[in-house]
Amino acid sequence: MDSIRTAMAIFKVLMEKGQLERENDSELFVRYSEPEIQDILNEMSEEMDCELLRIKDTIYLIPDYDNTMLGFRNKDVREWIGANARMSDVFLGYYMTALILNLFYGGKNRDPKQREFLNLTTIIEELDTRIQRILSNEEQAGEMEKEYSLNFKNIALIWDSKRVFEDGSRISTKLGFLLKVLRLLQLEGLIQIAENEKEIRTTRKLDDLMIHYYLNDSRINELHEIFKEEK
Amino acid sequence: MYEFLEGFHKRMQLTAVVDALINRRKKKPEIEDQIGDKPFENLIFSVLVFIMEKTLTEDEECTLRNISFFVRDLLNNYYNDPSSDEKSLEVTEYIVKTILQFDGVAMYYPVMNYENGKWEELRVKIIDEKVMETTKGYKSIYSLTDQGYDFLFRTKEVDNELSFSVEEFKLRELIKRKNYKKALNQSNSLVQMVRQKKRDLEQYILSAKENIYGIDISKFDELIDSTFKLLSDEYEILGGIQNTVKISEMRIRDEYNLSGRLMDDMKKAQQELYQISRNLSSARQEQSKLINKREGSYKILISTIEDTFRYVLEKRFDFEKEVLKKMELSEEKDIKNLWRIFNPLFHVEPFRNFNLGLAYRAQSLMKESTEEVEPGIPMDELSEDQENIRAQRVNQTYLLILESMAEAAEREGGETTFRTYCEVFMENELKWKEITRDNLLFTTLLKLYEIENIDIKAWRESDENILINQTDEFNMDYLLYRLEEDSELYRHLDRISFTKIEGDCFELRISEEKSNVLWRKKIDFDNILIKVVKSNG
Repeated sequence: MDSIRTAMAIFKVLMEKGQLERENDSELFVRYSEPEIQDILNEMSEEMDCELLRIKDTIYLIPDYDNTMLGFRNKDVREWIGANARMSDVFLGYYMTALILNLFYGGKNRDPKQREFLNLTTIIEELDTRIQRILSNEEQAGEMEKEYSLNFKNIALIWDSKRVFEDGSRISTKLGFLLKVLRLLQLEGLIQIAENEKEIRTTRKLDDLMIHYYLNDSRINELHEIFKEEK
Repeated sequence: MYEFLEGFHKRMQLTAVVDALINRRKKKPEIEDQIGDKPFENLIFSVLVFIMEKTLTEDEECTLRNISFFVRDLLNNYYNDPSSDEKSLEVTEYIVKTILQFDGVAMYYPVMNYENGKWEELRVKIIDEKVMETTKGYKSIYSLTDQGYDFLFRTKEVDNELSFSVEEFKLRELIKRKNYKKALNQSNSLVQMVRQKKRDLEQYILSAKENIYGIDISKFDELIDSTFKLLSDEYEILGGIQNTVKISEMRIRDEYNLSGRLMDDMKKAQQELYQISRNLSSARQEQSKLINKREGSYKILISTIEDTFRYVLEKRFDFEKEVLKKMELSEEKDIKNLWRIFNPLFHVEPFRNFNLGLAYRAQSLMKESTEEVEPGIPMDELSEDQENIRAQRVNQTYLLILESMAEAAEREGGETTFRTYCEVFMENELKWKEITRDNLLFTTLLKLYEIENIDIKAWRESDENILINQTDEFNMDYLLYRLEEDSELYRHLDRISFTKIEGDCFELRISEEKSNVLWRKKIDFDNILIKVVKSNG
């Protein structure tokens, strides 16, 4: 009975905060390692479509990739971009997020984390370079069909038509759009935006999850599933 | 292998740091040229020493601002380059972020490890940055990494042949600088480190038991031997530091003998030294227990475990290939699934799905089969789609009002009143709710009253093209077009009129639920006569 109560207490903290730290909940943290409690928690997390992962002094609750109950939803995406968001804006937001993750953690097997911080101008330049690669090849349309979807070419045009900056930081500018995306990532506890809004840093949570879980080769089937479902 | 090349890759660490600082990859001539090439190198190393001193001797935080004041002083007094606050901040940002942190990008130096005959990538990281949350946002605090300390100590503080751990050396330096408060913390962390060592050792043994097939026994013996040597050395060094502490205590005692009394700060220092001494002896005791067990040192064991389990066994996929490239191939219809890529990283927020309001919403009977809700991002929740859905709903209501009014009039022999229409319609609760939602029935009637006569026959004969661009506005042409298509009655109507009946008023009470709150309204109406004229008269 005591084990069930403790397991419930652990799960409650995880549901509330998404993570349980040794520093703040030392007793629960220590009891987490007891096999009986782990068994109960495993059953609970299986039923809730999530995974519990201990990384150093923190236990994280990670929703499965298709968990709509605990994870984030469309509402967040709308808040993310704004009331007049179009699907192309949402896609651009996703692509930008993926690009930022790649710039930080693109190190593959050697040491995934490649940077301590990232300048906002570097992100814009990187996206510009990728977009220019598409637009400059426009005349070779046949070749491009294989490399990029029509949708992505459309995104490239939308990005290219945005001005870099203008007062008011609206999403119609490159910097304004980037800041929109970054603020959501900050709200989700994944990055920190410097006071002067010139650079960003990753949080411990993002480092932990990316290095010890997210990039693991064992997740590759999940990614294949996601992209397969799209076809 | 040549014996003298043993540990060569460790020697190269120093070269790697020097290379990173001297052969700067991203030089900014506009900043460096004003000061000069070699003087600028002096300035970089001065900043490093400043960061070390700040971390060791003071309780102040080492921020970009602190460093820039120091840089301004140096530039003004020693480099013949009078600088403003703004310029010194710019120089400091360049030194700290671009030179010492390599613009945030991880820096590697290739070194040959003759012991295994392989080239290895040595990470160069000289300073650490801790980001702290403040009321104004985030603030960066800088400190030296162990690699940074090691490098700086070797440039002046210690002889090369001395082998010691950086933590122990820091403690010795702190005592030397009479910073007993920080030394006490440092000694506390030494005790913790030794205890951690014990825990890690137990963990290693556990891991070794679980992964016994993965462990090379000859390597294991080697580890045990080298660990034993390391622990013995550390034990000796801690003894040395204990002597330093004793000397400091004696100094305080001498002062007491000379002056006959102890000032408050000296009393505090004495207490702190006593505590340090206790910490050191308990650290030594723990170490001696470990040495006796000959069970290994945490440094080598943990690095072996980490290397093996974290960086070697854990293979990582290519993010560029598996995510970015595939996103570039995604079509618009696929976007609604892309949230799944990031779902594991985002906040867990069950409360938006488990909120109390849901329990109070209108409930329906449970059916045998429940409708599957498609997970993910429903396209229709985007604003453009939502506008369409609303326009569709509003137009459906307009059509329902127009059709039901004509039907009511036709039923009553060609004319009816708005009051009668409402009384009859109210009985169908569901439909009544639908037409009164957002006051649509009443605003529609006002519009119809303004139009007064709808000449359907003339409209039918006009042959004008209509614009079918659905909005939620009351568009008579569009509505007549729809009614002509869908309503048998309207196909036989020539006219429909709305006229006020003077002196006839009535009261309507309606209720509507909005955001879980029930609103009740009372509306006074002039009665309206609704009259239809059929094609055959």
